[in-house]
Amino acid sequence: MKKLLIATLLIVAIFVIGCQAPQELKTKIDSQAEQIKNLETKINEQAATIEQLKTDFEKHIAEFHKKPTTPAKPPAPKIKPPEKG
Amino acid sequence: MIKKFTYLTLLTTIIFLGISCEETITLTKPSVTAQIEPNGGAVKFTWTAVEGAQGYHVYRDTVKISISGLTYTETIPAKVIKITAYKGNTESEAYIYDCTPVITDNVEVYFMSDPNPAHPSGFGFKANGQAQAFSVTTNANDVDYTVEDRYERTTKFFSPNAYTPAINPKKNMTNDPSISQNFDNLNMALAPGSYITQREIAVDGVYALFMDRDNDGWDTSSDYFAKVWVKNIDQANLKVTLKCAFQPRSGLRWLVTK
Repeated sequence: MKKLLIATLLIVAIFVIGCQAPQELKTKIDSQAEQIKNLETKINEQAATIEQLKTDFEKHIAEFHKKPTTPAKPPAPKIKPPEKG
Repeated sequence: MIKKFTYLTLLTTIIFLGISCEETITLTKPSVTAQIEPNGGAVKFTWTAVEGAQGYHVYRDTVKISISGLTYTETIPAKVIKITAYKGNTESEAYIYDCTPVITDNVEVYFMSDPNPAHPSGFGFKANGQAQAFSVTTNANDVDYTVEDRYERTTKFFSPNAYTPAINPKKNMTNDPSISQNFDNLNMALAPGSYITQREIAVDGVYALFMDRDNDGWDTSSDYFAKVWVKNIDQANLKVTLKCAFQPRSGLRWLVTK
């Protein structure tokens, strides 16, 4: 009887301890998942900020630092020999 | 006695009336036909007799020539020819033949090598005689000459029909051989046969132009003469500055601007 009781207690203890670990782990996992989510959100926000900065930069360059482009020269056409008159 | 006195008074009165009543002379304006002579160097004027006229005055600008006939050919270029009928000091209203050239100064035309589409590389004379720069693409039909710099390292006036394909079919030419005159001294363009479709130009050069626009030789229906002074050739900005004088009378070579 005593042995059975001790065994039962042991089993229960093991069971309880065994269940606690996943629970803690789950909590940790959840916490980390939360952190990861927050990080993802921050990364997305920063990516959007960088895009905006890029757009603003290009606009600034185009407006204030644009170099004149040299259009391509048209090819000279054929000409006839000079005519008198 | 009284009878003699009466006759004398009557006679005197008749004589007095005859002297004091002068005849009023009215001369009508001559009806004149003007014809430009072949090759455009002279103009022949012909008119019908004006009743009561003793003769006719022909004014070549300010120079007066009196003639008795009904025809006169002017070979000296002028701005305006006037013809009146006269009798004594009485002169009729004048027939006026105005051949004053139309002058346009500071016409800027760009070289054909200039790729900027906003820089016209042709020039032409409008219906009112004024010279204007025209794009060879958007206003091809208005172009009388191009400023061509892409061949032989020279700057030339080119006829629009010198190209293949042509900018337009006009055969417009510049004098060949050279003229050595200042702008105002060139009173008459050279006769046809003295022109070429591709003519090198230089700064301060004065050139006579013969625009045989229908490419059939000289005529008085569609051919015109002009002169051009190349005031400046700006190699850095690829353009020339011109002063032009255009004779609005088709076929006439007179270009008096002084």
